Amino acid sequence: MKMRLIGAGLLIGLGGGCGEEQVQTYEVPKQVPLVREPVKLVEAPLRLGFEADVPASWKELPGQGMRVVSYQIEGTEIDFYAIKLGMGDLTSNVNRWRGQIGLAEASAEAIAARVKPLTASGVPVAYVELYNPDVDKGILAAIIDEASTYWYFTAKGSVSELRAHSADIQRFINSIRFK
Amino acid sequence: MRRLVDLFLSLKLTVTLLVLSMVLIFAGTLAQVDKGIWTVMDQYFRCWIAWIEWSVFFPNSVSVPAVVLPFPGGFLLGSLLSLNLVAVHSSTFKVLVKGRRLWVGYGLLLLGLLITVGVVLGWGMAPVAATENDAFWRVFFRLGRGTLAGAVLFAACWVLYKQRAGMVLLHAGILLLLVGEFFTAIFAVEATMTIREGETATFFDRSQQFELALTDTSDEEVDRVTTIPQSLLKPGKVVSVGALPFDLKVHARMTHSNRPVPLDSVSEGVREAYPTYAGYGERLYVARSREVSGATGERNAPAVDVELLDRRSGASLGRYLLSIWFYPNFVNQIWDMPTTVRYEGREYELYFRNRREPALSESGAPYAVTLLDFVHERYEGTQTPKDFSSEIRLVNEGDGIDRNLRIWMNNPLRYAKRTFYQSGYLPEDEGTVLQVVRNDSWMIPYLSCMIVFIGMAAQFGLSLKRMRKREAA
Repeated sequence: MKMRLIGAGLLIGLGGGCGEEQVQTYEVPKQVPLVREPVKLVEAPLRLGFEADVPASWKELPGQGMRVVSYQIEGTEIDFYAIKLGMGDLTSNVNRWRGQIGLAEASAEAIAARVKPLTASGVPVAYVELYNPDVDKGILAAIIDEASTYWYFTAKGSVSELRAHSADIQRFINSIRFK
Repeated sequence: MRRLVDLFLSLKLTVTLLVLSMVLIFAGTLAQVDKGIWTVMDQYFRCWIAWIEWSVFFPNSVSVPAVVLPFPGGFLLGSLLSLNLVAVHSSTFKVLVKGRRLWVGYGLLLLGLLITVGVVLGWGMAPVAATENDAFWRVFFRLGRGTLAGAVLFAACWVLYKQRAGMVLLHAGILLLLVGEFFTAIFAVEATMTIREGETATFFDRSQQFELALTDTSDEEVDRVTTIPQSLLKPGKVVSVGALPFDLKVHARMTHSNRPVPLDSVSEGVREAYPTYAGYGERLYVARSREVSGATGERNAPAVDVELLDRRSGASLGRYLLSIWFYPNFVNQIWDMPTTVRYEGREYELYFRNRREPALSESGAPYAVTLLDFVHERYEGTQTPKDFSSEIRLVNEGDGIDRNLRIWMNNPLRYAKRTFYQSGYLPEDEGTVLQVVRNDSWMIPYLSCMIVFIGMAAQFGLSLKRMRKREAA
């Protein structure tokens, strides 16, 4: 009997400690957004040296170091940025990117065969997509030869995220207008 | 009744329960291939009856019937083992003394139990405890408190049980460990606190509980927040809350959802079957996904699919997909994606988020944690983290506390019955993520270890002494 009473007491005690969750309503001081509101850009500003149609869900981040500009693509961890250099050899750059995602070097012919030609307002663009599913990494890159200046637009991230955003990135590159 | 008592006194029961425990642990470990660690904990260990899916014993490539077998859960096995241990102890180890010695033994036992309770409840410990010097001494003193309790309890056992004192004490230590884990399972709460440098946090995000938060942001001075716990968001149910001008119809609740991808990146067939949503669901694809494996260390990302309904007419005000992927603290503040709804001249922000808990001390006074500086050192020439630490300011005006403290790897802060561990950091080292754990029985493993250690040492020592005595004779 004593044991039964102890058992019942324990059950009541434990049951009493587990109240059902309830709807709550409370007031708090005005919240400061944890992260800046997404910038609704429709065009990249000219100060960058080019204009382009930027999807509303991308957020422009200021240039840092060699980067002229970076874009944060909503819902992804893709690192997409633009840099400007005085040289632009396709083979060596593609092989460098291949090395960064764990792929072996490829011949100039093999690389040329994988390049997708795009145009940015009439300027030819060499566009490549490199994926290594074994390490879940990829690089989408465009090299644009703008008369003595080479623009590199590079997106790095996971294979699934890059595949999902490849169309947006190509549309963006096609829309680039240099000034 | 006699048979029941005999059953609990049986060593066969002990062996059977230990074998069943091993089977349960084996099945629970295999189940983590397909399920998250917390789902497995609830389904296998922190329950009275576990429902073991037959398929866990086969590779995913093998097709097996979907059979679910009832099996004694962790709580049931632990309770039966504890009862078995107590029953065997009560019948085997009898108090061997009488008179004054008995009362001395009971007095020592009471003192030992008082010290044990004091150690568990943290009597005499500083209200704010952070490691300032060598972490070694922190652990040393913690074990020291356990040793003190163990030594007094051993003295009591020595007086009461003489030569069998070691055996009694070490089993008592094991029993304490079992009881401690039971309380940890029932009452321990894990949460996180995410803070950017220079910012102040006054709440925790509960790791395993979620809620739908609807914030009326229309007033200039205050935000009015209504939270609906996940447990009340049952598919097919209409939730009506007095503080809101509309009702919510729950279409689906997802344990795990995929990371959002643009809707136009999925196949046409998938797009056609996708419901018509307002808000982010209009252009992002988020759907139910297979639960993450407990073996990967990833987290489930729950989501809800809700429709707002006009309370009077029942007309739809829009169907919204609310995923925890849109909540900034879930994604280390990489983005912030509130769903905004306007209705009857008022504006509401909707998040499906971790359950928010205000930071309150034991006295009920609110406190705030400001991140002064976050330091992230890497091994030279690599991206491998070497050390990361958070310099914080802890302010509780109600309790008169204003301290600058440092939390770094393996050196947590203990305050208000919570332990704050350095757990992660925000991109570009812009802030810190602290894991905040409330576990009132956290000292029990230290205590149990020292009690078992003293009990074993005494048992071995006494056996050795007896053996030597026999050899000498």
